[in-house]
Amino acid sequence: MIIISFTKWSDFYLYDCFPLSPLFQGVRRSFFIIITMAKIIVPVIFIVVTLDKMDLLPVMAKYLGPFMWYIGLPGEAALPLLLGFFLNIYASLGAIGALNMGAREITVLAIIILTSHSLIVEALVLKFTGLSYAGSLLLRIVTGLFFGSMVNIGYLLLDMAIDVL
Amino acid sequence: MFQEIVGEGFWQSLDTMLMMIFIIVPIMIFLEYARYWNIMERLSKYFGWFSRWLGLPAEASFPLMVGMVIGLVYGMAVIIDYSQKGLLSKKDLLLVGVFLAINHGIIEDNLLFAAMGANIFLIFIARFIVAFLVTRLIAHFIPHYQNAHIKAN
Repeated sequence: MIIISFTKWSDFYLYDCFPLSPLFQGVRRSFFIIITMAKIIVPVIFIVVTLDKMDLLPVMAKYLGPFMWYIGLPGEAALPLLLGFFLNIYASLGAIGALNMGAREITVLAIIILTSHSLIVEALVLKFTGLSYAGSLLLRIVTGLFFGSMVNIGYLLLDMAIDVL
Repeated sequence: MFQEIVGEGFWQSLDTMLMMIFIIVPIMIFLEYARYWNIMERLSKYFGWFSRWLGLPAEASFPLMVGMVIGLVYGMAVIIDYSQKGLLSKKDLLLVGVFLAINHGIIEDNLLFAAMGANIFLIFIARFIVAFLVTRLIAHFIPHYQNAHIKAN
């Protein structure tokens, strides 16, 4: 009588104490996360590249420039900012990758976006803690912009200090 | 021009996605092992000082750590779990929510932005300072909720 038994690869252990199942689980999870991210990032990159080739970015920069100046960002940085507000981090990352800005701008943008990204979805999630929709929205946007501008001022002061010395 | 857009869009997308893959996959594997070995629970006992520093009880350190390291969704799952068990009062829930809203998912978000060229050190410190200040500020201004601080039996 032949008995065939099936074993999953994830049941094995390395050296009998290191399980392999979290490895497979991690890869599986990251697969789904990456597919979800790709569905958002790739269209965003194509949109930004299209805007770039149609020379619409300078136009946008001209109109949104005055608002961006207060936080020390170029006008075209408004795109990752708005994408970060309404979509999620990955969309704004796609937009940042398609533009080119210096380290200072990216750091300031990172702080603002990290404080206030996916506002809509996370407002729903935060409602469980008792934070109202308007409260979380206002808190995160104001805090993000304020501290982003603080960091920007910090960078500028540092530049000025280095020039003086 | 259409061909230019498709060509450049394709290569940039590939570039970005490869960067994402090399960051996300190791992080997820690491987090799965952390979940398997219950590292979060064991570490959060040592981080009681952190939540006391914010003005929260020591039980809040576990949701704070989970939310900070992993992400808002998992942190919220832990918070909902805790609130159903009645381990945290409403005011503490609110403060934990405020802190996590500003400062969650530090590992993966920071690494993703570092891949774009930002200064991680600065972002890390700035986020902590912002979250800390705002949490303390709000704790100062909101009236004390009725203490629903009922521990599970």
